[in-house]
Amino acid sequence: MKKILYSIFICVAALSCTNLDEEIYSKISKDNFFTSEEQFAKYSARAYTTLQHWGTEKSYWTFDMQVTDEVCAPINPNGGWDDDGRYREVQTHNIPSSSVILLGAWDFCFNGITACNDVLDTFESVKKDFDGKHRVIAEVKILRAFYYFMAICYWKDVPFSITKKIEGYPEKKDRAFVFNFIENEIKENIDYLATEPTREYYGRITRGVADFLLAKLYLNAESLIGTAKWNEAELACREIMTQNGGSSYYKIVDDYKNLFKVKNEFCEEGILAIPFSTVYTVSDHYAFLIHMSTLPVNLCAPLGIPAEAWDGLVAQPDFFDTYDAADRRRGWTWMYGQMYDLAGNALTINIQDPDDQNSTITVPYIIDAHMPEAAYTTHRTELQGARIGKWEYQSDGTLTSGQVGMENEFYLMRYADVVLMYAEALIRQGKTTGLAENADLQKIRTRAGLAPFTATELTLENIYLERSHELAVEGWHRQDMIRFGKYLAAWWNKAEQDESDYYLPIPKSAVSANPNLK
Amino acid sequence: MKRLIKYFAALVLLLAGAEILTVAQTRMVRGRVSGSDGEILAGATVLNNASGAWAVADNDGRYEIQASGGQQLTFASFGYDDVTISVADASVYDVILPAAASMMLEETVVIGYGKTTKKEITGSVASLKAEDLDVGAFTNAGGMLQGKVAGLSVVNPDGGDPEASFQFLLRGTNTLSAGQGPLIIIDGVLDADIRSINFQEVESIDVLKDGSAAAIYGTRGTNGVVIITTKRARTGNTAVQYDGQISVQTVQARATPMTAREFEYTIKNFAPAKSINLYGHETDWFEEITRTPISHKHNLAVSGGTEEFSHRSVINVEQNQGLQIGNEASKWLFKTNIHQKAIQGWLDLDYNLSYTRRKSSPANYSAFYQAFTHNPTEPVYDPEAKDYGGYFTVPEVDYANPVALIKERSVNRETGYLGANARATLNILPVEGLKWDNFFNFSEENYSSQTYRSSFYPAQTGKRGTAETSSDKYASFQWESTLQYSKVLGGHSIQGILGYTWQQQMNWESGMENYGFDSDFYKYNNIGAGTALKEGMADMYTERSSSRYIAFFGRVIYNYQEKYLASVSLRRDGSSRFGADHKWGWFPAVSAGWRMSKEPWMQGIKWLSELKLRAGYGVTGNQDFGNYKSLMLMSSGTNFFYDGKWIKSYAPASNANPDLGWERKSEFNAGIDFSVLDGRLGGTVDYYYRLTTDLLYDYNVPVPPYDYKTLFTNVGSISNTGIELSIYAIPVKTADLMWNTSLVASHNKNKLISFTNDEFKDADYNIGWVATPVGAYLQRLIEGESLGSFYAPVWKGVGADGNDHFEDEFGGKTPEAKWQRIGSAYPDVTLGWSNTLKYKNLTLSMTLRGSIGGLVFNGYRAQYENLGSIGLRNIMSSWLDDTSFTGPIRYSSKYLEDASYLKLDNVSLTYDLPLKNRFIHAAKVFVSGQNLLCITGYKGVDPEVSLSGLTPGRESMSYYPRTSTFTFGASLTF
Repeated sequence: MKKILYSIFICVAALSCTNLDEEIYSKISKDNFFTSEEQFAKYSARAYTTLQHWGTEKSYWTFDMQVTDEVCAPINPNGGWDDDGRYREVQTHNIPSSSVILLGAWDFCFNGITACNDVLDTFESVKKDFDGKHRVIAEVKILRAFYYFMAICYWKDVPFSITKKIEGYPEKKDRAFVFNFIENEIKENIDYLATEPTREYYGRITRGVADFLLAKLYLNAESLIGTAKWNEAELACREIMTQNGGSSYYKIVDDYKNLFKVKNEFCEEGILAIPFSTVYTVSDHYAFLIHMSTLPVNLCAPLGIPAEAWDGLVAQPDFFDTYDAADRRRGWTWMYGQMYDLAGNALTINIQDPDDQNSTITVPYIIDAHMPEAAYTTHRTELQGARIGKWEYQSDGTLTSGQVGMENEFYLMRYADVVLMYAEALIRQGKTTGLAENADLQKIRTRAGLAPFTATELTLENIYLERSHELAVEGWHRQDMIRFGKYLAAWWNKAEQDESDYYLPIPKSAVSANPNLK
Repeated sequence: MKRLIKYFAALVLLLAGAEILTVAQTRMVRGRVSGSDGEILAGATVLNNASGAWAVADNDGRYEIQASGGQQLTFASFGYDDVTISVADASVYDVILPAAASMMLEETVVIGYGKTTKKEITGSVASLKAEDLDVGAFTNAGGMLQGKVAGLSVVNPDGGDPEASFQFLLRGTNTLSAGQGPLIIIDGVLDADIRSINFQEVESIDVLKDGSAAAIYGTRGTNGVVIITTKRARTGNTAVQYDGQISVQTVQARATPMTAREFEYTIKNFAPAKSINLYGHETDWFEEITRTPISHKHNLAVSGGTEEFSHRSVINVEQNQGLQIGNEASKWLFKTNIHQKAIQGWLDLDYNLSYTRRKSSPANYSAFYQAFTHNPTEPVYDPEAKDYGGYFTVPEVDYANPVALIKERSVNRETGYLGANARATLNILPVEGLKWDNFFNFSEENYSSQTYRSSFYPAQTGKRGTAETSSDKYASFQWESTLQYSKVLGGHSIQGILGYTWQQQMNWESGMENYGFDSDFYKYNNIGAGTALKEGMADMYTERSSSRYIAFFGRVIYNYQEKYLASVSLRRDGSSRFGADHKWGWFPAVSAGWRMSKEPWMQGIKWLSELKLRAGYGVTGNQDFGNYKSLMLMSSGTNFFYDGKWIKSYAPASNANPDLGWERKSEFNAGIDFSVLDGRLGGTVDYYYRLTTDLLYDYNVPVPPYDYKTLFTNVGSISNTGIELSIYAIPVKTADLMWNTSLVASHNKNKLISFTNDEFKDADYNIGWVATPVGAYLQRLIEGESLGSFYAPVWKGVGADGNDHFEDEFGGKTPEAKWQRIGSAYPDVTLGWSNTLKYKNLTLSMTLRGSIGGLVFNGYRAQYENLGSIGLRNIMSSWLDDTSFTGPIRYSSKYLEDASYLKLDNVSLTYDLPLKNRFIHAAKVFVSGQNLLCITGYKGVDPEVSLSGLTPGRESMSYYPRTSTFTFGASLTF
């Protein structure tokens, strides 16, 4: 019996009737992918595309807005945005490790790090050379340093891994270790990067980006590792300000709004843009969808947006009140007061008659930026809460129904931030002499409709407010609040806290997937 | 049915000699009819096959009939098998008919790669013949198994949909993420599409249930094997059979919202603040989108031939209507089976060719949901609403005019199925009982679908018409070669087989989408006319995949004096889907049986006809998951702005898993088959324990070091333990009246033994998410508990404040950690009870099916039996039964209801018309009612919901109403 079985076996084996290899047609495995140099470049793109997660609803960015005093998401009039308190717990700083918004921030960092590691490992294993290979490798390494920087700003200890070739799970490393890694990584690779931010390098890591990251790292060194590095921060900023033969490649543009327009690509103030597109970045995980997160349904049609937006994120009233009445950035950042359609007609809305429950009345569509603290936990009305209006809404008809991604670029790093960091570093070192004559700094003031800073006005408190208003809802505010000692204070619907609040919990799913993070 | 065919086969053989017979001398032939059990068969019928003359035996079993030499007489009596004799010179013929019980033991049972008889079987196999199946209209042959096989649950989750398909679940859930459908084999074709045959052509269905029976199918055996044999070519003169039926359906169950009056009353009295939602009209939205559907089916079969060459050809045409306006499904099918003998008995050839064309305009399930939730005071149309095509529209998320949903959409789907196969059996005549069998099959299914949503289709405004087309192709090539040997030597009987299987399955998919049409006139017929293509917003794709499956197997079945029975099989199975290090596996099985009733010391027990003990053990696998799961594939998902233009980025879409293997199930089965009182009562009891290990599931893994955040790998284990009972009885058996009844019952206990190991811990434990406003995970995966375990806050009742109150409540809510296990979705006991009552030419049959225990989540009540949801949307009419509940929606045990039910599946009455003559050989008519009644305490649409998958026991909001079907049918044989 056995003999027969074996002889049949051998017989058909000879006829290759035992071949069980999988044949692939419309998918591609890594082994088949790298056939040309261009494909290496395309492969490095995956390290960058994680950045596009920034603009989504549960992201590092939206977490930053809500964990600071900028933005909140009370239950909306349709009962939405309660979701078992997932937004409330971020805003009131009762963040459980199961928070999905926190997880969005974690994934932004560690998906980015993994992508960088994979790209670098792949470049090493596939031994092919091409023009600019060193530059691409340096870009990916600094991008990885950026993701690590963003991670240590949130978490005290993080899993550390710079290659995926090591067996086992990544070990946890403290901030000081990662801080040094980031610093060395930037210094070792910065010279390979493109110095001039030509259009070819738009949206990519250039020398300016590396210096910006270095400036951020040093500026926050005291809050991260307990050692102040103000002078190093000053030098890094000055590097950006003088790279182009003594002046900067970047400018404070005349019109603040140009930074946030639908068509805002190649803006001279931008150092690192996350390019978004209505065609190419449209998934829920890779798109810029602030309009969905903030607009009420009733404003969509008048603004020419064929979507049923979610009416969630609104300004925290206290933050709204910190603006100087003359500061035009308040109106450029927030939507409040009377709403208009595209033709400029004042809008109205039907609401329930307060005197007669059975009928409705028509009132002007006027958004009140203020709402009582209690409205937060019960619910707010449609006319309460200033909406985020910083990025121009795509009203030109190019958005189509059900499409969630807008065309605006997101300038993650811009020159105004550099100028303000520079001013802060100088003030912290007491080197304010001549600072009031800094044209870029004063242009930030004047383009917002404010008087230039006098020398005496150049205080840390004023720089904090200036940063808050200039860079509002751009995702850097938590670092600033910590650095200026504001983060533990009580604010709207949030109690005073102790220093343990500086550290965010590592997401539950990350801990259960990696036992080293316990 | 089988009997009928036999009878006609005999008849047509004789017709050839009719010329001579007319001149032969006719005389009176007489005798006595008795049964093999000694019964006098009063009322037995005697038919002269040649002349068509009839006679009935008297109370002493005596008969007289006119016949001449050479003619054949057929004797028939209920409960006995027919006997045909040839009239020679004698004038007295006493005839003994074999009792049906002993026939039953001789009945053929189809097992994998062969046949055996009921008495010799050692595994757990349920065998159904055509006459055991219900009479009525079925969307496909799967429905005929409902309530007929102990341990096999057959659920139709799609109600009255004319394309409804059936979900099978055998002996509990044995997997976490692989498929649960059984391996379906139709006339030797592996993994066949059950829709490719007509249910009227089914001759027998055999279900291999336990591991020892199914192990011959290796990695595809875990979910059981359903072997369908269709009616085959027959020798004899040409027989033509026509079966026609016409059906009409009525609504049996649906989700019931408030009427316009109830809605207005509720708003005015309980929620006056929402009065702005009263539009003053009265619309019954369900009525607006439904009709009384009428369907008809026709089947014409022609068969006949000689020993050397015979055939059976079938044409089947169906035109089915669905309850929803515009929902249609039609089918035509052509199938032929040819049998040929060649080379002096050395070679048997069998060819099959079939082509099925199905065409449909499918239902829009969400229209039923929208009809439920849509405000009944809104009018259907509004001539002013020009932007909305004249449909009254309130622009809101997930709120669409139901009439617009079905009228502004046109969908056309067509499927062509081609099956061609040939079987060549070489009978190696010098060695008796040895043959070499080769089977080649090619099947191909072409599916195409075209959809157009007009510029007025709800929630598509701004897109100006969307056209989508897709076309898919599936092809399979199969070669099986077996060497078979059977021999009886003294008391030893041996049947052996050695075989090889090779199967390649291939899939092609393609589709495109465009929108922005200047006119709705083109529909999907001019897809290039849309503007989205030029704007870069159109979509197109093609996809192709394949898998290969190879096996070597052998089996020996042995018995000694039909008393001691044994079977041993071994299969070496491989699949391309498995990881590189894990392509092949062994699947052994062994089983044995002991027919105690054959022992000499039991011969004295006269009332006992049969007693057999059986036990078996077998290993099977499950490889029903997607292709390429073991490879690290890259996906080109997101785009990146690179050097002034958008390029695609590439990233891993999965982790490589070279160890990926099949889910491995080992099963022990023990059973007793018995028959007493001359076969008037008998049955089968089976006990089984199945342990499935290496369960596949997606686990979260850390990135880094993995490339991708989840890994599909083999970790957990599940057990299922159960008992199955099948009883048949013939409580009444007289000359004119016979009552046949059979009962199947089963109980299964499922347990998730483990789900994690040291390496893989993190996965989704909370499952069955119900979207907001309910916003809860219904079930949890917990080691040691059953799958399908519902967790919820325990509902204590409605308080004076109008809110729901729960145990361990804190601020109106119970934290998830305090939720309790409410129960499991799986029933404790499932039952099927079939009855056939024959009186003379009338046959009345009735099938009941029941389920005891288990829970079902009532989604409609959770979301719509509360005051908060009324306003723009309608709510359940049943809220008015208890208006004290005015609080918000909170998921709790309130909405987990007992799923027990008793259903009257089928009642049918068949009348055999006494119309037999030279032209018409048989004629009968029937009326049947299906899905007539459901007795249940469940407050939703239907407690019989899908039990397959990882989150069983939830009723979906998008559903198709349940219907009762009334069918009139006729069958004529020429």
